[in-house]
Amino acid sequence: MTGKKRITNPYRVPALGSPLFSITREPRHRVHVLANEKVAPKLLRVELERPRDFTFHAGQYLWLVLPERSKAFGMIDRRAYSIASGSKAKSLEFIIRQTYSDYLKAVARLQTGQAVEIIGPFGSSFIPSRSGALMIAGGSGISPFFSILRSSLPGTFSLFAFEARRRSLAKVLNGVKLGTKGRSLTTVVGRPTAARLAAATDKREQRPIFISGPQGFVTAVSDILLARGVSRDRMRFEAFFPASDGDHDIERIFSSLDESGSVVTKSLIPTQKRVFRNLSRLVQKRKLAATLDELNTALRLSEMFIRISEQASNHVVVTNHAGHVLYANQSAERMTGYSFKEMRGQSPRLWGGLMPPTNYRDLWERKTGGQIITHQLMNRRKNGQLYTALGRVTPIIMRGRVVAYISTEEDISHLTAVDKAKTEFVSLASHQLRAPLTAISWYTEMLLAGHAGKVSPRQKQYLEEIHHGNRRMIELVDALLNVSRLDLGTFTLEAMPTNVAEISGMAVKEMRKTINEKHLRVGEHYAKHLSKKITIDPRLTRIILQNLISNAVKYTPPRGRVDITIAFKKKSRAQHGNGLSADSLIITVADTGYGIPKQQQKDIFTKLFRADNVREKDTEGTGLGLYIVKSVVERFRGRVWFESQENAGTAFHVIIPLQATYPKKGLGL
Amino acid sequence: MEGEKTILVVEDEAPLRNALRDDLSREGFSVLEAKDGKEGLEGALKKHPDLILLDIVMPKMDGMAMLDALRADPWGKDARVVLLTNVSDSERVSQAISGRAYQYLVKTDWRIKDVVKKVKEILEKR
Repeated sequence: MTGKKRITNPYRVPALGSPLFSITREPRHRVHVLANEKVAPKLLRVELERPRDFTFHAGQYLWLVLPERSKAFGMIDRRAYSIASGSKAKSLEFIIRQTYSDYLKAVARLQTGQAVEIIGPFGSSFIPSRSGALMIAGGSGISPFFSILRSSLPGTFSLFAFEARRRSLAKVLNGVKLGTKGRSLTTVVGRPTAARLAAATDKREQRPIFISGPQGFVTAVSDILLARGVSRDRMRFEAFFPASDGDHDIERIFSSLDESGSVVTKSLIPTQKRVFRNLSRLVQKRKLAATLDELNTALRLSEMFIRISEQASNHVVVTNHAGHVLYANQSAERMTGYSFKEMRGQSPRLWGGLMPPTNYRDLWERKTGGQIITHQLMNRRKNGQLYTALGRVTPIIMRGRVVAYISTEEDISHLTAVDKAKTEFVSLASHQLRAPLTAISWYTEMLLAGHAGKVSPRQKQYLEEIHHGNRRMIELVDALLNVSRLDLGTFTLEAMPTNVAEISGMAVKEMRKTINEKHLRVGEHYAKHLSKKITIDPRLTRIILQNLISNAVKYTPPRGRVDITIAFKKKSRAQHGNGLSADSLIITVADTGYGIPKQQQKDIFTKLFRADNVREKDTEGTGLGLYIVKSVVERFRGRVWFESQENAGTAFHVIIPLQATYPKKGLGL
Repeated sequence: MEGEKTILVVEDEAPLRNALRDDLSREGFSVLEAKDGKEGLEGALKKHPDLILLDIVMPKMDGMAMLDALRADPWGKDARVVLLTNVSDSERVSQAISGRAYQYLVKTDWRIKDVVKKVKEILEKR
């Protein structure tokens, strides 16, 4: 069999899947299907026989191998499914989503009594902690949570299962008898909204939050929770890469590394082709020695390149168009803790998928655009340990089409730890600076007020200089604290009814002295209904307005003009173009100032960057204001941009979507 | 002003405590001082001041702990307290005080004049 193949295909290199890769023995079992039924729209409940020696714990998953598919494919085709059964159940149960993919169509066709193969159990997408967890599931996302609910783990576990229509999950939920104490199950009808997720955003709720379900669901839930100030660290995701049926062609090519799909070299392919032609001719003439030597060289070169990628110090993974792993090198095995065999056929969510889905959505959107992209990722090793990686994804383009992706990752956990330590240091130092700065401020103020005796005009002038210098220092320390809080992610959004026009007016008032000195004209244009309160975080709104307005005042020459426009826009129906997808607050601060030099415009939001032209004119800026504005606007999931012309002026625009923020009891500060 | 109003300043930073003492005395208040929450609590329960200016971050017993202890006392549960805090703590504080009885939150980057004004406003309300 193999001998025959070697003659017809001389390019086959003993490579992928061969002992070149370290392979650990996988726990495999052949089991029979006990039941397969449709339990809700697009949801299947598959029940498999449980082998006697098969043990697992809550939250684990296994791989399902369908013989039918593997035969058609020429290689093992498998998908991971979370086990829904309790760990003491007699059978293995799965809730599986029906999609258009061929694999899942094959799952739907499974008959009672049919044999399938299971490999596992593996890892844990959701590692239950002793403190319990609040679990939010959409559709088939309830599968991993079932096993947790049915477990006897300590801790309080509450499941919120979202269903499209009343009782559409009834049949699925019928099968759940809650295990021990501290378990609860609530069904929620409809799409996730802030009101329906109120239990998760409650201040007293401190348990980790597990979110699982189809991509759109996970995205919506995490967007809402983030906007309501739930910290990223508390959330665990089961985020999916876009499902597609994959490119079987590429997969086959990769399983054998033949001509056009070879990752080897451009020159190797023509060589091999030529060698093969010559070989065929020479086989007849029986003059084989020289050609065989050439063939040998080509094969060894090919092997060399495989070893290069195999032994590269970075994690290297090749995936097909749908993100399923075709190849993974030794570093990838080391970093993720999974063997190549375990990764093969899986999407990288095996070790990734921990970040808010928006991150992956952005990544994917840009990835399919065919660019090389760099991204900081939060991943998880097989043993559950989290690590930060700097990932680069490069598309492999053949005949104008993206056919696969090379993804390299470098573990940068140690670097992010250093960066965090630095940020924490800045935060600590700034805290320590505040008390003495307040003391200076108060004592100069008391001296100036004459509380310690009459002050001469010269003394007054000097004290005012001290007071002014001190003010600058306080502003700098405040800015540094804001930056460190943004960098550490400890800013929480606190939405409450807010009078935005009033906040803007206050920011103008704070600059009144400079405005008068420079004879600036300041126009405040607030939409009428802004005097009513809108629900937004007042503190972060103030930070944005304060920075933009003080910049405009500072960087506009005498007798110039500053215009502040704040409008409230309803979301537009049309989703295309610039149509707003949510009710939004729109802020514009325009000035007739110095402007930002064209070649420096790209850096203007960078931390500590200051444009040359203003650096000459004003030495007092911190270079932090616009960085803070941008970070804050991003926390709001908004957008900030500007138009500027040197010596003509600058207009900054901010759009803040209000969709994700809802009325909430304010603190009345 | 009928009688001298008493204000207890609980603040671990001596320069800030002294500044508040000087300025409030100048305005005719009788000022008591404490340099941590423990001293502050003792002083408050013994002297029953008309108002307590309370710093948050302090050694021994911090402001939030002192406020808790104070609220547990029959007199202390209605005592008027103004929290003095740095901008930087406000997040922690606003979380800590949500749902509790408290009066005002004054940031130390206010001018001392404004602190005194606030104190007068609160005392005049009664």
